[in-house]
Amino acid sequence: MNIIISNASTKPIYEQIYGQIKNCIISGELTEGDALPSIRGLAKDLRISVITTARAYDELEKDGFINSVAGKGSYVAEKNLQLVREEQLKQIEQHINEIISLAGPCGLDEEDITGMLRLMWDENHREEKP
Amino acid sequence: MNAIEINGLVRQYSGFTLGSLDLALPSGSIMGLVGENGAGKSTTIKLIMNAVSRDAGTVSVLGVSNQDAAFTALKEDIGVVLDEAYFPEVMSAKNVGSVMKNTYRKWNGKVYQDYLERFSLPPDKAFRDYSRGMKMKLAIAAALSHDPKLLILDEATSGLDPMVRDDILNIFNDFTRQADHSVLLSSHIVSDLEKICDYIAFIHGGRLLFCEEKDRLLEEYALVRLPKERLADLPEDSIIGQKCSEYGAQALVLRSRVPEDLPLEHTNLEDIILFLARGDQKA
Amino acid sequence: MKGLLLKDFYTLFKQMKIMLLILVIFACMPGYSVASFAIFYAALLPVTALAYDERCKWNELAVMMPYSSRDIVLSKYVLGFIFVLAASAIAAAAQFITAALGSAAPDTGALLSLLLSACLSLILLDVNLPIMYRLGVEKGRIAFIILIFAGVMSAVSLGDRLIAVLAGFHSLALPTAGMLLFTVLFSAASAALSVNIYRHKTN
Repeated sequence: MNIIISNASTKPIYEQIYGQIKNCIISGELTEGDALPSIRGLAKDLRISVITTARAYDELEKDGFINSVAGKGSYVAEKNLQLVREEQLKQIEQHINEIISLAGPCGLDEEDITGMLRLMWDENHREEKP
Repeated sequence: MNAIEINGLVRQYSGFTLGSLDLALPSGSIMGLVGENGAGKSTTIKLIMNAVSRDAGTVSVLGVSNQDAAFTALKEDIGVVLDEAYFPEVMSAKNVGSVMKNTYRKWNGKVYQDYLERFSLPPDKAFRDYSRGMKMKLAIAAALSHDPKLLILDEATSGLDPMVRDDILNIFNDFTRQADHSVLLSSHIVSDLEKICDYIAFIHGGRLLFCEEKDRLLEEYALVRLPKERLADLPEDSIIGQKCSEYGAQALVLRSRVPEDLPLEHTNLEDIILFLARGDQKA
Repeated sequence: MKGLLLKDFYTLFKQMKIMLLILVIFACMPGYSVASFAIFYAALLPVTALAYDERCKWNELAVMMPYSSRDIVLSKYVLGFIFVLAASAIAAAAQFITAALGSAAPDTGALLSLLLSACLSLILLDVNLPIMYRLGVEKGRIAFIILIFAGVMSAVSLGDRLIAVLAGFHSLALPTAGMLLFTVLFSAASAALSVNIYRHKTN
């Protein structure tokens, strides 16, 4: 598992860790039952504060991605398909919001955007065909 | 348990008062004690170790009050590195090892030997022929070789070159891989503290201005550069400190209190400290 | 305390090799005057050790280590005792050897004077150390020099008179024991005083 922390990013460090581990879990790189590095070990290896890794793990547990067993460590939780789908829907909504807010300054309206969407959807699916 | 707990600590000197100080170092963390020279960092450390007496307040280290009879024995678990006081000048690293072996019950000669090698310290050279960097390294080697639970370091990295400083900071980082190991590191090299600390305590003029989680500090504050006239546009309670020059102004602000679209820059610990220490500065 | 003693041994032996050699040579001198000087010098070595401590600010480090104030102060007294014992032993051995070489019995008077010097020198140390702890080595040194002269002078002059007095005793066991006892008690009192001064001084 690669965890890359960027100091230049606007996202707080714990959010970056949270996001990267979450992505690993969703993508399947980490599967159910896999052990995560210890909070303290991860912090020391990344040269960041233990408080921050603990925070990331807390959030991951709160959102159902991992389970922590006192004295043993943290493990990837059962993949909750519902959760994953919700996540992905949330992301799509976010992206759509961005498109809408960008469209304004460009002078594009709903029709323009839908047209672009159709065009690119076809392009994408055409590439996928063997 | 807190590795160090300070409540209502006060010590008065003529012309300078330290306190009243309330500070706690949670077990397993690294706390940086930052402040300008003369702010009271060394005094605080001496008060923690009961090397100087206090006028008021309580101090407990690893759960034991530092005026308890048991405190002398507790020093077995505390490794201290001071800025100035070192070993007798004619002693060699080997001699120091022998003295320490007869001082600390848990002294580990092999660990000491390994550190001497890692730091390239010659075993038979007299201490007076050591460079400043070598002196610090020897002191650190000795402090780490008796299996301490708490490390207290007063300006341990000052005067060292960047590579040595990095190596030493790595050692402290590794030291705290165990959850019952803690470090109190006093320094005026803020960038070093930013690298490894969990908490930052800022002492200024004998008073503790804040003690915060380092990452939260870096999340909460930001730098904004703007024309002087625009400073007034910012909400009053968002500006922590400002600096004005001929050509513009810089302000340290709380992210949560400024308008969302304001272009903000990342701040580092040194900026935060400087702004807080200097207060407002007009051109 | 062993660590503290070791530290002083290392420091003294490394800094003062020549002086210590002279000390040993003096101790072997016949009679008791020169040998007494060696014993007095030996007794005051802890003060030199104290001076070295001050120079490198050892006490600031020592207070961070698992030593009590008592350990730190007492180690200087123990050091004094060890050195005096060593110097006296060398001097006494020299007396025995020279006597044996000359096929004569060792001079009891000289031996007793050595013992007297040993006790007096320790008493001198007992007076000196509290002064050093109170005033620091710089200022204490002046008192130190005055006391050395007084000490050596009195030992030499007392030596003659004491031998005369002791000649009146049937057995020398009692005054000897008395002298030893007094030295021990006086040292204990001095140590207690020094510890007290040290405790208050470090703050």
